[in-house]
Amino acid sequence: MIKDITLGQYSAGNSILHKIDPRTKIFTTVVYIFFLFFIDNFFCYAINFFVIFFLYSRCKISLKMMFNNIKPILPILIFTSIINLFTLRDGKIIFSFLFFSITDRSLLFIFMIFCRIVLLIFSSSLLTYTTLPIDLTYGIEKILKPLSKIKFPVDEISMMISIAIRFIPTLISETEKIILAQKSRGVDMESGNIIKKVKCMIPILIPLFISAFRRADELAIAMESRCYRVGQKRTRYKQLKFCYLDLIFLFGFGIVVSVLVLVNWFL
Amino acid sequence: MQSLIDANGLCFSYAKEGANIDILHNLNFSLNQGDFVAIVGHNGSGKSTLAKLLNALFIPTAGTLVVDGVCVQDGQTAFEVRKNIGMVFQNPDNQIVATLVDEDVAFVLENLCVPSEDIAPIIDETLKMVGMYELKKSAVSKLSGGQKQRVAIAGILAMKPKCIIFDESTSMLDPIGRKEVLNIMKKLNCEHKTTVINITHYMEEVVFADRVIVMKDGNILKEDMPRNIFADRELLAKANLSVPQVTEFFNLLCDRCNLDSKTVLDIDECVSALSDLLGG
Amino acid sequence: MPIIELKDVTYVYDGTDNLKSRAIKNVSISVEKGEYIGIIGHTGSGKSTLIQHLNCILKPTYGKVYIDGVDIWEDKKNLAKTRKKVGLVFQYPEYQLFEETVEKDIAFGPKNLGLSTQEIEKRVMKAAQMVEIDQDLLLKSPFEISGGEKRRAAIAGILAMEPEILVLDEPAAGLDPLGKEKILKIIDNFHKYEKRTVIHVTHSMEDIAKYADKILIMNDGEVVSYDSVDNTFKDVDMLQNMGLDIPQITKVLFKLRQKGFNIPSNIYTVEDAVNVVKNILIEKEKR
Repeated sequence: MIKDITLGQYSAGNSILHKIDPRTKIFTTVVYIFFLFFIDNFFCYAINFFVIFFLYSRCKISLKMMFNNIKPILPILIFTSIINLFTLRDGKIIFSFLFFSITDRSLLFIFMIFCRIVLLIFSSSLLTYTTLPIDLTYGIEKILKPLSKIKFPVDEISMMISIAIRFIPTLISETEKIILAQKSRGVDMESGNIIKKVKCMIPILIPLFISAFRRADELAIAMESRCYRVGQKRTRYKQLKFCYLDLIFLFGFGIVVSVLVLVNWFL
Repeated sequence: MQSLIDANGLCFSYAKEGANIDILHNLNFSLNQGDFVAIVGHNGSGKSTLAKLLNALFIPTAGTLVVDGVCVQDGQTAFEVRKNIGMVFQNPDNQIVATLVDEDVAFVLENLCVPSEDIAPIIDETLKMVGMYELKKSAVSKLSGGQKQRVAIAGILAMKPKCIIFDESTSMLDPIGRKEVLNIMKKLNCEHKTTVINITHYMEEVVFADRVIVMKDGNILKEDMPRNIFADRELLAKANLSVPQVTEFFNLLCDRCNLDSKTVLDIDECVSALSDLLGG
Repeated sequence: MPIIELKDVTYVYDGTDNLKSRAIKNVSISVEKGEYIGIIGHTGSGKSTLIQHLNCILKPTYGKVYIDGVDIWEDKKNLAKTRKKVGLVFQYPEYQLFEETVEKDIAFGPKNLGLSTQEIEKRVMKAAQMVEIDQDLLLKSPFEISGGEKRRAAIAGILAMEPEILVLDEPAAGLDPLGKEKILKIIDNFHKYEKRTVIHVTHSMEDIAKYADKILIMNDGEVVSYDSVDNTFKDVDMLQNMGLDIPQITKVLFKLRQKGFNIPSNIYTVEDAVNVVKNILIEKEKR
């Protein structure tokens, strides 16, 4: 569990990626992921990995941290790869055993999917490693801002996300406290079958929900008391400003994308 | 001079399961700018409801409540009232909106549509006032209860209110946190002439107020200086209130030794009264 | 044999062996059966960590915890036994209420102990009586009773487990004076009439000066003093330096002593203080 969500996965640093506007990072990450799904050239993947490793090293994020986010999905990735390996049938058969056969196309396909997913996680993690959740929220709010013209409640949603980020540590420590308290009332959470374990959740979940609602209620009153009005215009303390670093980054990004396009479709 | 808060026949009740439940009955009082008032009374005496009325979080069901020239009567006036009156609640965890200290202080300014470029200097100034400037960029979840409560105070001071209501704001704090918050109350009242309304159970805090309002079952029993309140033992018994330990001690001593009764409020008064008795 | 014995207990909270992350350091104390111990210290002094060692919530990184002479971490089977013996009331225990009725909630602990229905019922009634919760309140939802009643209901839930040792972490925090007085009385009665051992963690020396036999003072994860109430109050200077909230009356008498009046140092309740001053006044009259 992410214990400190206020920092999320944020790893403090001083690199260009830490300094540029979250909007730039969100935009480039989305565009990058989009491109990833069109690339089907080995050489391109090599370039991609090179660029990603370069950025990670510039941000001083360790290899261990880099692979941390891959770990949880690795079993699924391997499992689907194996299924694909034996079920995809087009292309030349290069290996066969009893009913199973592996074709060159399936091998290639699996390799590509594997690279795409890994790159996708690497690139999106890079975003969360270099951006505070609160900045991310603010960036998303700014990007979605035009939607408020069609009555989409952008400000309210952004407020909701930031309150959620604010309260997650509080609720986690509350959960820990409730678990301890019920344990000392004799709830045995370590042993027993699934049904028994599910039953153990009731004395934890009910107090947790009640407490969450109580907090929500009190917070709503406190917000109202501090002059908050839903749907009213507000100014913002935090200003996002594009600087020349954003330009440099976008320029670099443009070059990488052009190279990828060239290599993938014209070479 | 026009008073800051004026309550005339103030009543509040709400309907529950068809029955009308009266919380406050016919309250009359007025507060001036710069007052330091304590409101005491046991649980259910209506003091928190009164606080919420003063902040226009509730609307009076009968009578009038005028706050800084604005009559609390509907949602429209409520906003005007809240611009001038801030409120610090009991649970420090449940009133902080933002993740970081400075952003929480900015919250009220954003709501009041203060231009973005003016916000930062106000934040610095208010955080310095409550002694939290060094922790400006900290995550709120990492702070102690007392520190959170100071951030909450800063979040209200930012709008430069005429009055701050502390609704049992010290009751969940440890002695150190309580002292910090109390010192801020005194400082605000002294240096900035902010009206302070302190709703509390701690009689040691009541001593610092200029005036005390004693409540019971939705009525105001008495409104007077702390010394006179603490001297009125009949009233205290009626309202189920205790007195500071030194006051209790000295009262008991006077009774047992048949001395002229005298009300001491704090340690120093008690020490000097005792040295007079013993030494003189 | 002491009922609780901690031998050189150190707890490191983040797995590293950093000196900074030691919540409590080399704590060795023993508590005799039937004693009322007050634990005092300001926030972060390690008092909450200490008491969580008493019923297997935290495992000491170093050192041993003995309850009734048994090393509680020696055998996994001891866990349930220890929790049965040691009842722990956490801070703001009303937040752990969850059943439909107060009665069911009080019965939750005893039920987990595997007792018979009759026994459970008997215990619930007794616990409810101890905390002064009336019959009609027992059938209400724990979420529609007052704050003070909730707190008492939650404490009753632990009392119904009839622990040998009752441990409470700031049981009166956040209550009004009346509610606080009631809680203190309940704990005192449990100690006096049920003859159980009580460990009471608090910020307020005033609260426990009247009730406790001994006071344990924690500062920065270490035991600063563990002595009788009389002896603890002798060193007012030390108490004040640690930022502890000492009773007003103690401060007054301390100041008088500094002024040269001959007043004994072991006075911390209003009653005693009045008697002492009265005697001095009578002496003065005679002269």
